[in-house]
Amino acid sequence: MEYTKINGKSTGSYILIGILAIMVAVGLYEFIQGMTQGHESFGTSNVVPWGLPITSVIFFIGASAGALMLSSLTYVFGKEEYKPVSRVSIFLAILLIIGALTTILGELGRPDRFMNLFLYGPSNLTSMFAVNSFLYTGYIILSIVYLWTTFRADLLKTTKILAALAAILAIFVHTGTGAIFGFIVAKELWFSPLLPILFIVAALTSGVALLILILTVTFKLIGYKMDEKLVEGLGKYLIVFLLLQLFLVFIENIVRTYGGMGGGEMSKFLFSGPYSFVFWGIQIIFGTVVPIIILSSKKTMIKVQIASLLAVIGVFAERFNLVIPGQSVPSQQVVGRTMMGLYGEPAIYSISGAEVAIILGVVGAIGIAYILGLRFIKLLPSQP
Amino acid sequence: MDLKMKRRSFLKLAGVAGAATLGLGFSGTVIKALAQGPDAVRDEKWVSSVCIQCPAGCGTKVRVVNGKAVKIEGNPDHPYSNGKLCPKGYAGLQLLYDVDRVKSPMKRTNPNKGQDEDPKFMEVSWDEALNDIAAKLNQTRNEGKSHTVAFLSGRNQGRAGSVWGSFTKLYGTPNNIGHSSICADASKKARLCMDGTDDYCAYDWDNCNYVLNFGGATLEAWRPTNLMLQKWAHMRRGRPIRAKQVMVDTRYSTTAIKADEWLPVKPGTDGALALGISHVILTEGLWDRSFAGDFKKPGRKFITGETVKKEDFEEKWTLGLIDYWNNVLINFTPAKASEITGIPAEQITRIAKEFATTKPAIAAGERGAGAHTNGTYNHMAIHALNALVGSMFAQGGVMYQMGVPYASPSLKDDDYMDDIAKKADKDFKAHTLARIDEAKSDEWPIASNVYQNVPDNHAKGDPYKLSMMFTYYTNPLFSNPNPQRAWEGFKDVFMVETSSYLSETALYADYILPDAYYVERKQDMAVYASTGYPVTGFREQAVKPIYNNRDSMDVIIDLGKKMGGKTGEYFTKLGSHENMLREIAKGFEKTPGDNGVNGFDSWAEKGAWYKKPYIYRFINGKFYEWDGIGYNKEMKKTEEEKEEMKDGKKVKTITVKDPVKDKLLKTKSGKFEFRSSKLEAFTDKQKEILKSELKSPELYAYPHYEVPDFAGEKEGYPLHMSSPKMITHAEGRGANSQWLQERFGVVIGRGWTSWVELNPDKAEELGIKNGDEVWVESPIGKLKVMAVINPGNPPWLVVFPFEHGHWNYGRYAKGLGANPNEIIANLSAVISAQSATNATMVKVYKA
Amino acid sequence: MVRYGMVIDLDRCVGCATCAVACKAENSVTSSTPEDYKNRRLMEWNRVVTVIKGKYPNVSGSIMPLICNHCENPPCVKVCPVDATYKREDGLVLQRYERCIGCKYCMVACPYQQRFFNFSKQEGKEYHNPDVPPRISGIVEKCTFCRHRIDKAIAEGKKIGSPDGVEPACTQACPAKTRIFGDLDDPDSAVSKLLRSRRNYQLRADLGTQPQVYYLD
Repeated sequence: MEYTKINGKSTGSYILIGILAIMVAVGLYEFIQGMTQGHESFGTSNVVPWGLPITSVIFFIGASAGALMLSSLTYVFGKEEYKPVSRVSIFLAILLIIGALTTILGELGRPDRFMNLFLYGPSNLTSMFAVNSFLYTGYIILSIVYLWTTFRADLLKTTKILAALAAILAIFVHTGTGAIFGFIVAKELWFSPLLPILFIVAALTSGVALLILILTVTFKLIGYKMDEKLVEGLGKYLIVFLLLQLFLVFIENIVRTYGGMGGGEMSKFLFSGPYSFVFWGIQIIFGTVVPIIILSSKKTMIKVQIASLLAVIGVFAERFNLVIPGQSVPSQQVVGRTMMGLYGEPAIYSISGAEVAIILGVVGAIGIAYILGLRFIKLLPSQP
Repeated sequence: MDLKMKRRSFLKLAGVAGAATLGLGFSGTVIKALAQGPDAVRDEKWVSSVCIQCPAGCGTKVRVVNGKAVKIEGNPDHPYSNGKLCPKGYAGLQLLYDVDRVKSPMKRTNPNKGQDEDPKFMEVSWDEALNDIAAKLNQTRNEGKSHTVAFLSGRNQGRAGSVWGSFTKLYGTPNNIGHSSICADASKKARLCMDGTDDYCAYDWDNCNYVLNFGGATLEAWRPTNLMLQKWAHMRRGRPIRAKQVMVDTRYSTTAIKADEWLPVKPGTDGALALGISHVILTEGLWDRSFAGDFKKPGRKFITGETVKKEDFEEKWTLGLIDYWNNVLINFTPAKASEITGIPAEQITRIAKEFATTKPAIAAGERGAGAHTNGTYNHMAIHALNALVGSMFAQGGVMYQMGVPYASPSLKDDDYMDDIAKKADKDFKAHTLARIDEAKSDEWPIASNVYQNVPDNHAKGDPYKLSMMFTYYTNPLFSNPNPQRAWEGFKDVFMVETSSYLSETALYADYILPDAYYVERKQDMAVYASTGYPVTGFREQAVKPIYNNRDSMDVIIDLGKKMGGKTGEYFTKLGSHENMLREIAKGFEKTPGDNGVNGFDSWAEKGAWYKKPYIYRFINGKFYEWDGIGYNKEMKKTEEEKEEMKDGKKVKTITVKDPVKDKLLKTKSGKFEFRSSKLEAFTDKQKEILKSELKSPELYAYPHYEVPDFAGEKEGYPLHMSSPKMITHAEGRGANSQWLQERFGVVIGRGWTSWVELNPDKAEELGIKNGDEVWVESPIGKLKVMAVINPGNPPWLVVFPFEHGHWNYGRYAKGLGANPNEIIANLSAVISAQSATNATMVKVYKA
Repeated sequence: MVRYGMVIDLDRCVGCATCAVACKAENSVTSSTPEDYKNRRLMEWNRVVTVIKGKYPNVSGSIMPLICNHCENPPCVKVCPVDATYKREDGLVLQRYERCIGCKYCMVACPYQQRFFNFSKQEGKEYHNPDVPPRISGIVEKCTFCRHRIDKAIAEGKKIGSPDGVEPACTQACPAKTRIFGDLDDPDSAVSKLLRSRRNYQLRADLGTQPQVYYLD
């Protein structure tokens, strides 16, 4: 297996870097604004304190974990046909998790104090954030080492061990991320043992789908030919993950309609509340059912690519539907009674430019790092 | 364990160091503050004062640190506060430090006045302003037009009342106009007609076991709010016997939520309910015989439909009960009351029986029942209930607030009246000179004020046009029903406003003489009726005036000095507001308060003078006075025989002293009159005018059910509108406090907005959802407001609280919400001139 | 061991919101603007809510104050990644403003919605309480049972707890004497006595947070 770097000196490449750099600049500006002036310009509130940035964070982490687990197909399960994309997937996994952590930084009220996470985290390990900060750090280090070993054919056995470890750590990482929400008694839409499992499945879906999309775009831009068999093979995994996702969402919500905490009101809110279109339209139909249908027929590369795009949007919507409606639903301090006034109404979260700017800034940074990585590291499989 | 500690402290050190280095400037304030901490050197004191956000007069303690007021709490030594305040009291801080206050005297440079006109104020000095105003006043006076100057006042407490009174008297105008008619005059005049006292009642809540409350929003705006809240809780859980609270109100208010029973009467029908209850009390034989008397044949009861011969009944402390029965109550059965009010007859009967047998009981009412065209008669029927169950001056019943034994001022303003002043006084008493609001005229013989008619009367020039107007703690362009009349009418009046905030009236003013906020000045405050025993608070200056504001009373005194002549003499001798306070405080040397206050200094320090107990009591059919140990001194009629020389002959004169008539039942007969001699003493012309406004003119002297008029009824507006005040509403002066605005509707759960409350079924019928913008339209106009659903309100009612819709009043009030007054028609209750703000009907539709 | 808690007698509560205003005054809490309010950014360490059941004429309502419950098993303390919010030995759940990183995890973890984020730098006002300085932007704050009063009382050896000891501002301010504060572990304290006297409950006890604010109906 031969790997190569890209040239990366074309005008198109510089223009792309330029656009991404602008996104980074805007994001940085909004970040500094947020840090000095406070989060006034964000769309969050005291009822919905977590907004689009957190959604993006868990999306990135999921995609990262998924991409990393994909690389384990090659080294742990011995599927050599996926070896060409193994390096890229690990590299992307690293970039995505770093991007996620950067977004978290942009979401914090006091990012200048992020060191406190490491100083005081160990004294409160019931906090998933504290646990995760160590998990993520370990994950990044392990992935970097793992990537480095893939360059050393002589370290194949180490690579295989690291691949297994990385895959396991990826599962832990994403379970941990799911547990951030799953351990919260206060939010009926979150408190569920199914949440970590749902997160892992979503990670796999988004990881695979995002990888397919990024590879498609990369190959197109550098003029390589995509290996159709590879993509179609990945499509098989994608449909399995999508079906699992649908199943888990169904199970989780059907149980809620029977009663329990919040008495089924939460599911009603999700199904018919202000975010019902995002749930039914984007997450379920557009993001899960339609790709399943597309992938059920004979797979072609185009079909898989389209399905991947829809799946990515679907997973992002799923993250959104977890984070936002979970907080937006009127909380039941006095169970069974509606409070008068705004307290009894759902808190509507409005997406603000500042938050989008920060997220796009991170995306831009990931993009630039990706392009530079392709240019200076032998990540891509060389064309035969 | 040891290791953990070490690591924790290391981490702490590292963390702090890390935080310090990383924190840079962001944590500066916190670190600095932590370093300073509560032990930093500071000059701290607690100063006694009295809150001004409502008429109650609750004593406060203001915490002043380094010259800044940082907390207002209740004064533990003031019997109305007992260390507590309502939310308005605490919010005084934000009103004090409101950055949009008027910072110095202002003079208008744009002669045009209007809602959209910019006054283009320019700062002037006090002397400049006062000299100009004094000159104008003198000129008007010398032209023989002194009566065209009016002084409108709202919250003029303590000596402010006497300063305004003296100024108007010496100036020579009868137009010292108070705002009481847009407050709750109906209840006062009803009492005046029945027991001779023109005041709100005081209540012995501590000992009362049953409260029948008609339209007084106890837990929201029934003054003294703070004390009402305390007493409510005390009556529920603070004593072994829990009192029953029955709320008669058109809307599902806070009090209705917390009361044991809520009787949702139709608007304006409170009197009918009271009459139905009175009927049951009499037919069931449950009236208090020690007060009202009894049939000569014991055991006999009143029977529905059967008249009673007067000679068959012997009244004790009442007069006219039989006439009342024969003319009014005889057929006013619970069924009839039920038909009018909408309350089921069985409930009326039961409540009546409970009310009469659960003693002591209080029948009370305020603006809810009074703000209708029949408001005065409603209140007469309500107050009559107290007489029927023997609550007048009884333990756990109603009484009247005793006056404070201030020393009489040595300076008598009567001695300084010049010819113009004397003439004005003479003409007013002779009815050749009327007040601008026509109070005390044949139109309104016993009304104290008809504030709401001033704009119309001025605009019409009937009785005359005003040339100048002074306003003190009142905002006629905002607080009047249908204030649009004033917007138009007052364009040509020279106005001097004393508000410290840019009120609507300030925006029409030619001069603003900004008052010092209450924390910045001294004043006395004899309390609003409630405890019965006398209480007066003292407002000590807690902080120096922040801006170029001055205590308005000192300003007026200065103005008086500048007027020259006799007025100038008087005010020069008067000196200052503080002089007045020192003088009245001398009265405490003779009558020290229970807490030792015996003069100005101790009064200013403690913040309150009070003397318990209420000295009168009705026990077992007789009236007694407190003798220091108990209610032992019976108040008996005495006859005094005097022999004196008259025209050279020895003449024996017998003077009858009737202490009950002098001090308690101050009517012509010395009894509680169900048939009002006060009303029967109207001149023929006055009777004619009154009767022409009644649908049952033959019953004019009795409490009876006058069918109320509603503006918009004839035109087919379908919904009644009630405009109450919330607990966060500080008499129209709280709209610029964020703390009050952000929780303006405690029950509705909304802040920073106006709203109309709709019943859910009615809202559905109109296609309106919770939070929708709607138009509320009356015959006067229409306003766009947010609709909220209050599941408790009856479907025929919309509720539109009064607070918002200011043109300015600071950045937090400006342009926020809508003012319900702008769609409330100017109707008044007969006799009392109470503004009938609950008598407008509206229609509501989606915007 | 001392365990501070509060008992709120809802029969006494008169729905006046004095507690809410007194708390804002005492703790220099930021005031809101109409935009803040619409955007659900109102800072109310203490709030008064009304729940109404049914509709006219079969309607009943309940008015209750809500504050941080200073839970025995606080979900917010569990999830703070920097141990900025902690449960003190005497029962208070407090916040270390200087350590908070503003991740808002505690805000989503609190079932009672009683934690508030500073979306902008708090303006210093002249009337702010010098004992409680305003907070910087980007951190979370909440009711502290007026720890500044309690700490001062501990330092000065004064009595703490209703009816005649040092109380939080809301308790002291309530005209209806709705709230009692004190040591729940002391059987002779006013709180313990009141708690014994009637049926009482805690909010969302089913969530296992063990709130230390009790309600009597």
